[in-house]
Amino acid sequence: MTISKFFKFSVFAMMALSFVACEDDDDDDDVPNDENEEELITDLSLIFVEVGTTDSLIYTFSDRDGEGGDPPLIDDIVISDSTEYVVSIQVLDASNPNDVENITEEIEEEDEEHQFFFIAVNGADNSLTVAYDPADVDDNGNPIGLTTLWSSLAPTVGGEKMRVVLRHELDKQATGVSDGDITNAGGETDIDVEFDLIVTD
Amino acid sequence: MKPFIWIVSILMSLLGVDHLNAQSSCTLELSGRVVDAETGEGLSFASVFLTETSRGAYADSSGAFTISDLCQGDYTLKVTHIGCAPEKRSLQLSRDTSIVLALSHDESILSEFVVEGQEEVELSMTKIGIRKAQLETTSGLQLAEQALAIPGMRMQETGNTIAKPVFRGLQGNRLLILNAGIRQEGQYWGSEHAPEIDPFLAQKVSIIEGVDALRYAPDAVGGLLLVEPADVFGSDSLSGSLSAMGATNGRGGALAGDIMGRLSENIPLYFRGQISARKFGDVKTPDVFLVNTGAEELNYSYALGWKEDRWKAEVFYSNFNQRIGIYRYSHLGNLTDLYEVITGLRTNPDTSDFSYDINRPYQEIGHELFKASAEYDLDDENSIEVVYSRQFNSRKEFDAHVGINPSAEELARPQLDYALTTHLGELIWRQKTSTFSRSIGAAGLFRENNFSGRNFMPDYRNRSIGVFALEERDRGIWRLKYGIRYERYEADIFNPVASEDDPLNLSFDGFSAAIASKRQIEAGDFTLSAATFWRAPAVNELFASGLHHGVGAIEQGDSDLNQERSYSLSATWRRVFGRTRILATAYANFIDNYIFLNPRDIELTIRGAFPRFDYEQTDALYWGADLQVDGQFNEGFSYLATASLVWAQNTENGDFFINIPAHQFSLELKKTWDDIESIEQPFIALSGNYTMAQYRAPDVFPFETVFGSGTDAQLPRSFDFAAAPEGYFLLGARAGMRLGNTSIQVGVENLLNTTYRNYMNRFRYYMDEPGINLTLRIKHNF
Repeated sequence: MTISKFFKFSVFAMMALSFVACEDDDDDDDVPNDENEEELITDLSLIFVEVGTTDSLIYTFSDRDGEGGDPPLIDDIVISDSTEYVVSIQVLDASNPNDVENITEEIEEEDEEHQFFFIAVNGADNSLTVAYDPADVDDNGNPIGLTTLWSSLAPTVGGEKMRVVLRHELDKQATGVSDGDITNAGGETDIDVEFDLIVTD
Repeated sequence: MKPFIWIVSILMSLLGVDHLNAQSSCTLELSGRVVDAETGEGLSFASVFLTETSRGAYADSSGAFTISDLCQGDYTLKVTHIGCAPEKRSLQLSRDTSIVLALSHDESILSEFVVEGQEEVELSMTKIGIRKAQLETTSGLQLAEQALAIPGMRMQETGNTIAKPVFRGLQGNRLLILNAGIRQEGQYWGSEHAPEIDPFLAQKVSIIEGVDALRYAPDAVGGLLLVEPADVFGSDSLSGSLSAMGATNGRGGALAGDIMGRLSENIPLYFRGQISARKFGDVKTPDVFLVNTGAEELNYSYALGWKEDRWKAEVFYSNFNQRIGIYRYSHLGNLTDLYEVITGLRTNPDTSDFSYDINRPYQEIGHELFKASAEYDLDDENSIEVVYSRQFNSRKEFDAHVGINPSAEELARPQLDYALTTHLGELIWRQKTSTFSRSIGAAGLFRENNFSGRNFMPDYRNRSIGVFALEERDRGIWRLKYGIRYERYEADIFNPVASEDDPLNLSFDGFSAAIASKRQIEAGDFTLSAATFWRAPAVNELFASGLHHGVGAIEQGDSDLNQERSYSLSATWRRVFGRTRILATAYANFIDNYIFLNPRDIELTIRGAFPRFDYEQTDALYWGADLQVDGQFNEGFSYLATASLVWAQNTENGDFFINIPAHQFSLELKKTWDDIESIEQPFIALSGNYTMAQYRAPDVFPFETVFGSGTDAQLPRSFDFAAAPEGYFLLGARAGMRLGNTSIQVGVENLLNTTYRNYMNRFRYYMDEPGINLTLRIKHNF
């Protein structure tokens, strides 16, 4: 009889459960609000300051509606020949114009996991050299690339481009990586953009 | 074991060597009838063999058989029938003899496949299912893996933790999945989601095509996979089981238990309860552990039923909870990353360290189903059934990265969060006589989707109503079944496409219809089936917009898509020849306005250039054949050979589609011994499985060109990011036995520890398939 009592009990317990068990989803009757709060990188700006001056030039790659949708707006980089520039990078999430987020600071906080690379395309290396700022390093002494030194060597002939890549969780110890060679870096790409480069006479 | 002896046995049977001594004056006749021990009905096509002579006969449709030209002597008579335990009887034959042989259906035998026959009139003539006993041989695996025993069934994987069924080349929105008769609504969400069903819940898993699918839905374009729990009214006494499964690869396993019975003799209250848990860690390829490929799951269900003479009512509740790791290195930033992985420029970051940890990226999936149904018999022929169900689906995707330097709050939040609530009501009237049956019904559905996080799809609500009528007629050797369904589907689309006050309204409607006929032929039957189904475009096909990490591609929906419609034909032939059974199906499915992802353009983003795939429509043809042959070489030594062939093509331009399974062939050889004292039905089996390379794969994406010319690059009309992997051969083995109420089975998968990649795995770009795996399965029934 105890066994049958046990069953009776369990059956009634299950019956009771079957009425309450369906999880109440809190916003059952609401059409949900748009909670698109994901962090997006929309803007990459290169801020050029000619060495010895305070004049600055800003060139930006901007894609405020994220992937797809409208094509990005990309400035040409226009700089003078035989000039040295200190170039600093600013990364923004400007997808919401009322709440622009500065992602540069967040990269600085996680600097050991991030590095920018500057890759000359279509012979841009004949007109320009880019070197990491020796002062712009993470706690392990490896470059970050938020500040770089650009020296123009010769006017461009047309078609030259500069590619700017941000990798994270890369291997900064791999061969060549701390010299700005991306080949062995690995990791995951956060930013990969190309600017047309014009070095004027 | 002694493989040599087996080989000799095979050779002997192939050469036709048998032990029959021809004698003169052998004129005796043995005749009789094979009947079902429970119902007394004749069992058609049961086989009757005299083991000493290797002579035998097949019963006709009434169960009658005759074996003539027999000599006097002592014989052992062996009787077998699909779904029954084989029966042996000693017989002394001295004159013409007539006997009745009663066979009892036994769920516990390890039948290689069970093709549903006439005995289940409610089922489609072309319903093909696998029963509990077969499911037990693969217990602990995902549902899609267990369903592979159904001819024509294949699977699409995403890594090793997400497996989705594919039937005759079609999957996703086109292959509906039903749990206890209720459609899994979460399957609407896209192609990378495994069915949220506890496989331990299943008493039977079957594929339904054609007429009977109309009972459930208008859009079973590629068929319908039905998962049926045990009947709550199935046992008057208390019964249940406990089972355990362990595997070396992933160092995990599963535990499950179920119990069912009736409250007391006086009270017709029936109950069933079931619980299961699974946990696996990182999977190992022949070389390395794949980082973050573990999974954990906890599921339970219960049902209560009340049964009176004229009516019965049932409530059913199931709860599914899963957390699955997504292979860490499948989450890439852009095409350059993908290119470097595919071309081997990056060294494999996997390790030799095993872990149970599930870190980002991972998914948390929940599914809850509540169903209440009641059936009332109006009279001997007519009955009414009413069904209400409510289900919740929830799906949270936690990406590898939460932006740069995330806050604790950001870390706890999924990047994509779907919630779906669905209510379904059905009312069905059934009429049934001995030669005719009919069901007429109506269904209404309300569905609400909430999305938050990564902006990939809009929120929506939708409603649909459907009415259907099905009839079946029995005309002796002919059976005919036909049906029609009308469905109207409406959707209100909200954020971000439109607002709550002014939603975008879409509606679709149409008819689906199907017909099937089955004819009994000598020692078998032949079924011809034709059907047309239609499907409204899914919300992701209409409105998807965004980047798919992992597979570096932007997907773009099109809100002007029309419904797609299928026209399918299939022919199935079943026949027994001597000791051989053949099941062969040929099919063709033409899909008008077939919705697919077409590579359209190269788009520039801040992560670099990506191909953009648009949802577009074309015409498609899927065709193929499934073949299954099984039989016995001689006593206790049997084989099962299968072939699954699928072709698919874009008929507008001749292009190939991506993710179509390559042709596959398998052979299993099995030796079963007679009981050795308390060890019952011991067996050992060896299986080989060869999957060809998919030679009809799309072009390979021209990475170099795209890196060189960016958005100006010319794309092929259809492409994949890498060439289809090579074909592969896998060897496996298993052995098992029963000890009273306990069954024990051991198995080895990928016995040769072969390194290979599977075209039907979306992560084929990144990872090898699992290496060798040893499994142990124990089940105790009480």
